[in-house]
This record gives sequence, structure tokens and C-alpha cells, in this order.
Amino acid sequence: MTVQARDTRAVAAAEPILTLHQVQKRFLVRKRGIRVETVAADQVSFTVRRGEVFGLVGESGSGKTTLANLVMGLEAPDGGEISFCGRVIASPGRRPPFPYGDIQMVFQDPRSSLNPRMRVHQILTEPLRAVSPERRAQFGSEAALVELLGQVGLRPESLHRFPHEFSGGQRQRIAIARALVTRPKLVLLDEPTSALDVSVQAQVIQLLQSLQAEFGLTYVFISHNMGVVRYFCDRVGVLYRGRLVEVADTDTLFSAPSHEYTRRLLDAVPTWSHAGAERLVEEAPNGGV
Amino acid sequence: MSTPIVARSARYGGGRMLWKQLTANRFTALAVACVVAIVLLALLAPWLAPDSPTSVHLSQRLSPPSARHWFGTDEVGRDLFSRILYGARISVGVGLGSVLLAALAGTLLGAFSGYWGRWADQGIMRLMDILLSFPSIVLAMALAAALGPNLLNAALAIAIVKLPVYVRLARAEALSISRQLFVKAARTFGLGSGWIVTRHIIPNLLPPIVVQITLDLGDTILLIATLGFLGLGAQPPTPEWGAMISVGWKYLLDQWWYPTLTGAAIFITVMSFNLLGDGVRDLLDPRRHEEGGRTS
Repeated sequence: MTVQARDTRAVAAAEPILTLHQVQKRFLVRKRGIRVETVAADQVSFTVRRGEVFGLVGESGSGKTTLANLVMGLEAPDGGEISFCGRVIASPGRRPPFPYGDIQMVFQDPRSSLNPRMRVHQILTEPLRAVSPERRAQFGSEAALVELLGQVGLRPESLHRFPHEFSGGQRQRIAIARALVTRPKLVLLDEPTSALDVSVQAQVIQLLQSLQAEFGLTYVFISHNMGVVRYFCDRVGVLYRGRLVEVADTDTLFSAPSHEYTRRLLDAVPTWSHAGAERLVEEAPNGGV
Repeated sequence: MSTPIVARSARYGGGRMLWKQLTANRFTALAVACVVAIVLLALLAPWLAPDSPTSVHLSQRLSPPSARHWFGTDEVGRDLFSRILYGARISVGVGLGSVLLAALAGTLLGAFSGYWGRWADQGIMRLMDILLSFPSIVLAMALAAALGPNLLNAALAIAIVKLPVYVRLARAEALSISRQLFVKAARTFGLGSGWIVTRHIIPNLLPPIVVQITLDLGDTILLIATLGFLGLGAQPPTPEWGAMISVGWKYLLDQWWYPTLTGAAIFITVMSFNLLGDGVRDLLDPRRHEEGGRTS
């Protein structure tokens, strides 16, 4: 698999799946007893097109997590609106109905994102509780779950094990399977590889790529690892102190960054060359789980 | 932050391991033996007791220990050994019942309090602060007196007295569990707080609750006896240890065996449960046995 093989041009013409329009989110934080207002999302607008991998980069505290929470419906914005497939899913004040099951998220640390007291079967079927009975019946059967486990590279007998019986990479595969069990259209990946070993990181990225094709997924990939972003994403948005300072095609962003902050961000990661990322993926042992 | 939970759940899995570790300490092993014996005696009381605990033989009143009456008889000639055996049923049964009631209600309240936060949390915790601001025996007496003096109300009063401990414990654990990503994940699926608290939070906070239950058992049995002694618990002729001593202490000088043997029953039972509680705490308290998360 080479980077050149990924055709980003086809995506450019695709319809929007997720649109953020001037999204605003403030927090009141107490600093030494004084109330300070922090702007976590400041007039953020961008569009994610169906079938693409949209990267969101920025240092910690730049508002990446807040944006993810807003898109997942965990928090309501103070201003602006978020639409998904043409329907408004988040706006200030009144909460519009949220399309549970159509947007899922994969979290950073699979050691914390899987309940240690639940077996894999329970973990996988949990998201189905919030979707329609037909969908639940279709994707919640033992056969469907075993097939899904196979698609993420896990054995059928994993279904009756507990998370602590798996390695970090395997646990992240369980988390990915859980996100896909409702057959979502959009998946938010919140630094899905940063808690994993470097060799496992490449395998997980490869898995995410093959699943994207198989399930027809759109990804929002949140990361501060510029090497992985360059390899994986079609377009990238750069967040800086709650503001989206630049949105560009990956190639454009890396060859000709237009914003001062983007340039600094790229300079800060000199070791992760483009070729390096590619080499890492090719060297990873195939089929190893 | 995630390691203790994983480590605890792994340790919880092996029942045989748990038993081996529990009996490794000599005192704990003794306590386990005593508790098992007391529970067996209580369960088998109807078959083991030589006489009914309430049958009166006025001709044999206050007789000293003998082959016929091992522990002697009381002021109306009832067989003391039989009464103490039946008393074990009440003390252990009601003690366990009220602790479990407090633990159940306290865990639910505390878990929701910790998960919801904000005003619900504030309300519940301030209520618990009020309960905690009374000395437990005074509060138990007041509640038992207000509810009416009988065994069931005494158990209820003790459950209310014990409630704040469980609420605080469950809340503290729920606060840290709520920050785990699996709770956030469950919220992104669109699941309600009832599901999240009962399926995600409570199963993960059970180990310290179990420790607290075993620690509280001895204390609770003592409280039941205290209320019985003060006339606020079981009423005569119920063979309850506290109520028995409240009558028997008058005979301490001439018929010493009557209050002394009854008191010994309370002493041995409470001590056994306390030692067992200490042993279980030493075993399950994550602060004493910190170990790395297992990956296999």
C-alpha cells in the first residue's frame, strides 16, 4: 500500500456528511478563585465530505477534545450549529434529536475505554441498545458479532473473554469493532494509536484503512502525530487555541503551510518524515494480532 | 488510574486464591473458623438446642450450669444454652440484613450522586453529613424509639445509621470511575444514566463496598445488642442477646453465668466478625497490594 495509491480527488467532489457552522463553546474555569472564561471552540466552521479522512491537529488544549464532545452530542454548543447528513444535530439551547448509532467514536486509551467487568460480547452489543430494534436484531446476533470480530482481526472465542485478557492493540481492535457494530456513517478517531506501541500503531492504521473501504466510512481523525496524519488523512484542519486556523489538503498543508502556527507545528516534528511513516507501515508484520 | 480496577477484577476472579490468602493470616483463619461455626450454630439452632428457647420451667429457675442445662437457666427456668443458640440467629441474621440494606441503598445513592454531580450530589451529600453529625448510638436510639421498639425497627434504624458510610464510599469511587473513558463511551452511544450507573459504575465499585460490609458486621451486631439492652430492640421473650443481658445483669453476683455467658456470646461473635473484616480489608484494599495491570 502506498500513499500515492490513495485517490483524494474523488473525495473532493463528494457531498458533505458533517458540517460545523461557526461553532462556539466557552468554559468558565476557576483560577485561584477568579472566574476565567476559556474559549474552547471559537467560530469553528468546516465540512467533512463523505468517504474522506479529515484530520484535526493541534497541541493539547487546542480544543480537539471539545470539538469531539460537541460532535458526539456530549455537550451543547454556545453558538453556531452542527449538521450531520443535512440535519441539525447540535445547536445552542434546545437539543435536537441525536442520530445515535450513526456517529461513533474510538477513544485514545483502550485500557480505559472498555469496562473491565464486561465480556467482549456485552461490550460489543452495548451501542445497539440505542438503535432501532431491526438494526439491533440484524447486527446483534452471535453470527454477526463473530463476523465483525473477524473483520477487525480477532478470533470468535474472543466474544466470551474480558478486556484484560487482551493486549493493547487487541483491545483497540475491540473498541473499533464496538464503534462499527451499529454500522455508523461517521467515525471519530480520538488519537486511536497514541496509547499503543509503535509497531501496533501501524497495524491499527492499516486496519482502519481497510475497514473504511469495507464499511464505506468517513473518518474524523484527531491527532497530534503529524507523521500519521500525513500518511492517513485526505484533508487536515489545524486548531490553535480553539480557532481553526487552516484547512487544506494534506499535501498542500505539508508542502506549503499558509498559517504561521501550522509551520511551527510541522517544524516541531522533524523526525517523522513522510517516507518514515510509509516504511513503518510496510515493515509491520502482517496478520499478527 | 485504570490499573487498580483491572488488577482488582483479576484478583477477584480466583476464588481458591482468595481463600488461600484469607487463611494465610493466623488471626483471620481463626476468625473465619469462628464465623463459620457461629453461622452453622445459628442455622442449626432448632436441631442443636436441647430445649425450646421460650419454654418456661419455674421449678428450675436460675439453676447453675449442669449436664442437663449446659449454660444453666434464666429467671423463669428457660434453658440458657438454647436461648443463646437462637440468639445467634437473630444477631447474625438481623445484623447481616441491616448491613446489606444499608449497603444496597448507600451504593445506589452514592453511585448516582457521584455520577450526576451538581445539585443532586450536593443534596444527597449534605443529607449524609447531617446523619453523620450524630453519634451513631444516639441516632440509632432516637430512630428506634421514634419508629417503635421492636426488632425490625431496630434493624431499620441501624441501616439508616450505617447508610452515610456506604454513600460516601460509593460516591468517591463513582467520581473516579466516571472519569474513565468507558463511561464517556457509553454516553456517546446514547445510553441513560440508569444504565450507566448500574452497568458501568456499580460493578466497578463493589470491592471496597464488600470490604466495608465485612468491617461493619461486628459493629452492627453490637448495636443490635445495645438497642436490645436498652429496651429499644427485640422485646422479651425474644431470645436476643442484648435483651437477655438487660434482665440478666441483675443476677451477676449470685448467678454469674447468666449474664456472663450471654456477654461472652456477644464478645466472641463481634470479635470474630471484626477480625474477619480486618482480614478481608487487608486482602482487597488496593493501597496495600499495589500491583501492575496484567496483560496476558
